[in-house]
Amino acid sequence: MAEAERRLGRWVDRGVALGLVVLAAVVWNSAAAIPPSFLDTGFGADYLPKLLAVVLVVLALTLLAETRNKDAETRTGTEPSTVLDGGLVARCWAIARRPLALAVLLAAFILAIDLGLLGSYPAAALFLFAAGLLLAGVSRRSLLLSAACSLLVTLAVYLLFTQVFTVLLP
Amino acid sequence: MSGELLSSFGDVLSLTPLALIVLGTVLGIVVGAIPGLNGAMLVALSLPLTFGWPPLNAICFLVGEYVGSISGGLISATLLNIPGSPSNLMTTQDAMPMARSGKAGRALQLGILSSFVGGMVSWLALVTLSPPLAAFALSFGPHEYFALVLVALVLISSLNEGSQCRALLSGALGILAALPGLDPVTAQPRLDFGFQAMLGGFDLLAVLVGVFAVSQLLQDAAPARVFERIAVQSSRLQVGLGEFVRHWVNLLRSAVIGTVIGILPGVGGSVGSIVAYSTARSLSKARAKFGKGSEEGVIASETANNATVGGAIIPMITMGIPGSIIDVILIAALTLHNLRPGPLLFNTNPEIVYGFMSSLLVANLVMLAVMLVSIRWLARLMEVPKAYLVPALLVCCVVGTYAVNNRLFDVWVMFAFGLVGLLFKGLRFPLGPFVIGFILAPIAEFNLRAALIAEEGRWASFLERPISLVFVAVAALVLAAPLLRHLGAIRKGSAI
Repeated sequence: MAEAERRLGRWVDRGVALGLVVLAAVVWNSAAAIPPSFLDTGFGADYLPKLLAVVLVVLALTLLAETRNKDAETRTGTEPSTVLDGGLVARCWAIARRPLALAVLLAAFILAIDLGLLGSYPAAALFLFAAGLLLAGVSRRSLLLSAACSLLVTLAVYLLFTQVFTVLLP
Repeated sequence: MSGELLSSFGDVLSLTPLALIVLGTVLGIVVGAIPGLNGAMLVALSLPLTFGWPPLNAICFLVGEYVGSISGGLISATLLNIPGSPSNLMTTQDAMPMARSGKAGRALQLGILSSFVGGMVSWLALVTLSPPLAAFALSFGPHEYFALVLVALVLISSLNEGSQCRALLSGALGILAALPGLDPVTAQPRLDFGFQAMLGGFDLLAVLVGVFAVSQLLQDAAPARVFERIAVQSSRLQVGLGEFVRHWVNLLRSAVIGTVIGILPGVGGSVGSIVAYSTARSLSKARAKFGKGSEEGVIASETANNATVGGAIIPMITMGIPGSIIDVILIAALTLHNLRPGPLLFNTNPEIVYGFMSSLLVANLVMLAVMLVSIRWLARLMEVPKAYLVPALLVCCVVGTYAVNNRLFDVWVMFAFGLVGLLFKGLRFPLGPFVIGFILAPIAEFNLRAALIAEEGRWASFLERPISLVFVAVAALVLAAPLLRHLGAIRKGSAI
């Protein structure tokens, strides 16, 4: 199972290296589109982005080389080769599920304020309630605690930021 | 200097700064003691609050949080076997076995006293080394500054646990994240992709809160393992002074190691504690006891991690180069108050420089008193339900980030960098080089371009100035070290 995880990690690394090369190309193109300034010294606004694009490509290739070396070590090792199974994916999903769900809730909270669908404080109270239930699980106790926390924290944020620091939230 | 230092003690010991140090230290200890929360997150989250305060008050509060969070991690390391922060990692090796054998109180008290000694030794180093280093840094020109930033990035990449390539990539991506917006020299827009809001670049605070706080809080939402939990039976002092002083060699050695490692740019408490622990183990007569409840192990780890705090502040206030991740946030705090850390700060704002020094000493004393007195109650912090704490802190992130510029764009930036931080953790890319790259990018770019324009593009000019040459040589050696080790191993293998 550990070998399956390592193999998955190496495929992810290959994807990361490819993504970095694409990013470097985007940065280079964007920097090349900057017109030269009237004080052109040859070291203008495009200099560092281009330099960094080259560094990113070199490091992405190094990452690929590291991955290849590890593959070669595995092939020469005595451990039997393993295939990626559904159990590994399920375990990864079990770990990542709640952080991703919380991120989606957080995005919805910010979006609701940004689009003016809700005021900051009602949106915060709703987010606190929903996130509390997400993390604690749905039960009578968690319903009560989430509701209490959402009211108390929203009140505390209102008192601290709006009353003490006079920040006007949208 | 002594006059200015004494007068800064007068400022720091007045009511508001002192109260803020106490509050910051207590908050730091609380956050350090709760597994999953850490000092960088707390300090980043507190930045928006300190925005409107006088700079000295902000420094007192943030330094208190820094010291408290490094020390508070000892509690969960001892009672739960979970390091409260990465710098408490080695403490778990011996503190938990001590706790299991009924010596939880003793392990905690040894850790607290050692943390205090580490903090005091590094404070002495801060007071004595900073003024001459700042005077030396005044001779730096663009070549030296760029080479110094290069060393900082290479050092943090090589001393990080894990792949050097990933750490360098993380640093490069941090620099890249700092580039969008108006070019600092020609004021031309770049990498803005047509978005008007991107012309100002990414707000420093939004990036820091996203990377440190939001990513950590999202990660904390993952289902946690259930850990063995040990209670503290008594808060009575179980370590005699004479008995503690007998460890003076270990204490002094670990404090010096921690301070020196703290001074290295970007390298924080975790490396200091690992090196001090390994050194104590290799020099100990009772080597076999390490990992099974050795008091020497607890002392080495806790002395060194607190000693990195003072050490790390030295390059920050003398050269503007962060000595640790939390120092990146302290630089951001100074920047928010229109102060630029570096050698000139000693002339322009000596009250800030000496404020750092005196608040560090007072925070160490407060930490010692608070932790010794309230250890039994602090141990109960580990029972705080994170299901309700995490959403509340996320709301504080959103409101705090919005409050600085009253722009929702900054809140989206914070969210995006929170996801970037989470992705980095998933891909095993260290976050330290990323934020250090982000904060040092403007210094690096300005000085690189100034040096190359002055020398008509000759890169060799970096090797023609002695200080710059030394920095470049150190960076090259550190980069080449893994390759040299590999070649050495091959040679040894063929010799056998």
